[in-house]
Amino acid sequence: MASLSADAWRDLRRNPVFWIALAIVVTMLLLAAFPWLFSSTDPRTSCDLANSLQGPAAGHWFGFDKQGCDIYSRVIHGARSSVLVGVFSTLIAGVMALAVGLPAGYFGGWADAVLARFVDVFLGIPLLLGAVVVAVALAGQQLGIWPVVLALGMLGWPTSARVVRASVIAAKHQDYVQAARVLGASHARIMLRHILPNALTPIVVMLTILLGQFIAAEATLSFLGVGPRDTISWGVAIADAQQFYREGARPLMIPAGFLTATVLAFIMLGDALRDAFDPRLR
Amino acid sequence: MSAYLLRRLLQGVLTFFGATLLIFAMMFSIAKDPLQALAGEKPLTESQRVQLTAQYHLDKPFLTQYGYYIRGLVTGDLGKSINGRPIGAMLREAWPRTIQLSLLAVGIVILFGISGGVYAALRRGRVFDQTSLALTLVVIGTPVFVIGSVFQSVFGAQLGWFRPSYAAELGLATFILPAIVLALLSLATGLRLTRNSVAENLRADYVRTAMSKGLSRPRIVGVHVLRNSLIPVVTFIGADLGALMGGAIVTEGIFNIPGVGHLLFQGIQLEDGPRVVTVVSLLILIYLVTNLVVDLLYALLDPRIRHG
Repeated sequence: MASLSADAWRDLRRNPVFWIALAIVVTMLLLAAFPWLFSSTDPRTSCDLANSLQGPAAGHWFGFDKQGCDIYSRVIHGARSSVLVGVFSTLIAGVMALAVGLPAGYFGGWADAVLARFVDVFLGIPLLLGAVVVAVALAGQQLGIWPVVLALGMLGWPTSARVVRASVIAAKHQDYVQAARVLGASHARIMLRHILPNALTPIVVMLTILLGQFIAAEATLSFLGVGPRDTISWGVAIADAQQFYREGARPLMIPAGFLTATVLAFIMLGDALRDAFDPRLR
Repeated sequence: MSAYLLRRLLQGVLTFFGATLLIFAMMFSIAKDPLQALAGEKPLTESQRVQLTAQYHLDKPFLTQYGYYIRGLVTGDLGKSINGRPIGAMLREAWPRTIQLSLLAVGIVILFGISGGVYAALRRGRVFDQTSLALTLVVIGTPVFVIGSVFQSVFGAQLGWFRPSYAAELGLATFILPAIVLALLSLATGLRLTRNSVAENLRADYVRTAMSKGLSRPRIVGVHVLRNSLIPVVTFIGADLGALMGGAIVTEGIFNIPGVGHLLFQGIQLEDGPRVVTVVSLLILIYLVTNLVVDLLYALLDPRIRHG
């Protein structure tokens, strides 16, 4: 296969945006998986009000927030909640998008019309508004990140389903699909083994960008006070700092910078992949 | 046109019932105890339990509950918040400020998004184009609450250009900074969309024809290209209202503007379930109606849609 994927890889290798985005994404994944590699300060127990809003010091590169907590260790440990919510909700949204988009594009006709109305209903609920309702309804129970994961995953898939549907329609008239059908392959086999692998690129691009958007949404929900409870996260850190915005910008700017860099990295990665695999969309 | 109108209206009605049913089900079915879902972590008194059960008809079957809820929504009987204040009265007080804020934001989007996009497209690859592409990407990657908090801190508190939170006595001026914050995301997307749309249209055959007829460049760009390029931009601005609503919760929350978004923001903080579910449903209703109007206008402007 020295064809499309080799071409795409050559394009990607020469694209500095791809490398920058990849470096940020890998760093954030490392922070989420092994925070103790980067900071030996415990973000919960090391707070001391005597340090409130102090500037950077040895071992505390970013200084301290209003509560006297070490900003550096809080920002390092905050990555986990964002990355986990992003990954799990993207998985749910991806499965939903495939479950709805594949049959809609493959069968067409009535199935397509019914599924399109189903997609309309979910498109009719702006992501943040719907997620707020789910998170408020489940607020009384101690469920950690799961209400937010569920809300974003179950409400964030409709645009992706449309992307899946469109790329399935483009692939289903190919000769190899006809050949598989003539050979007696079942609908499920044709969809999953023949059409899906050839329609995968736009879906992967879409899901990469979606992951970034979910991380932004998770932080926004934390900021609003309905994110995961009792976790250290960038959204919570920004919300805390926003209340004391008159007293100092550093506790606000640092988590804000990490959050923006992460969201941006996923969007740029998605753009770079799309440019490499599908130059027509550039 | 009338066949298209009918089809689109039916779709709109279907979506409305589907979306509100979904919101209602999420509020009342996924929690173990629907009453506790309405009140969050606060303990409920016996009289509150009785009152909420009656207000949401929680002793009746699910679809009956939903029917009562929709009837209230459509007839304007919006019920009471968890601490007994009528939600309708709170909303009436809050609306004007949200409308002022969002109109100002949409104005900013149209003014700067379209003119910026056209300018970038005419100067493709030059400094303005490159800078605006990079800046808009950063804006797209930054959640509204981050932009809001940072702008409040920098332009409000540090530089002192704006009052960092709502001050009624300033009139419309108090909305300027929040409106910029609210507008930025749509502005960035709108600018990129206009740029691409205009750049594509500049290469179209009709532009070459107009040029060979000897028409002036301002006329070609201002009349021929712009009219053809703006259709997707107008649709985008209409459809983007959903994001704008999400943004309004955050923006009004940060800048303390007592509008509808702030009502919801406060409702979330106070774990006031009735208020949250009612305001969200109303916002969805407005969102769907606006989308419907935009779609119909679009069909009116572009015959390819209604015959497609």
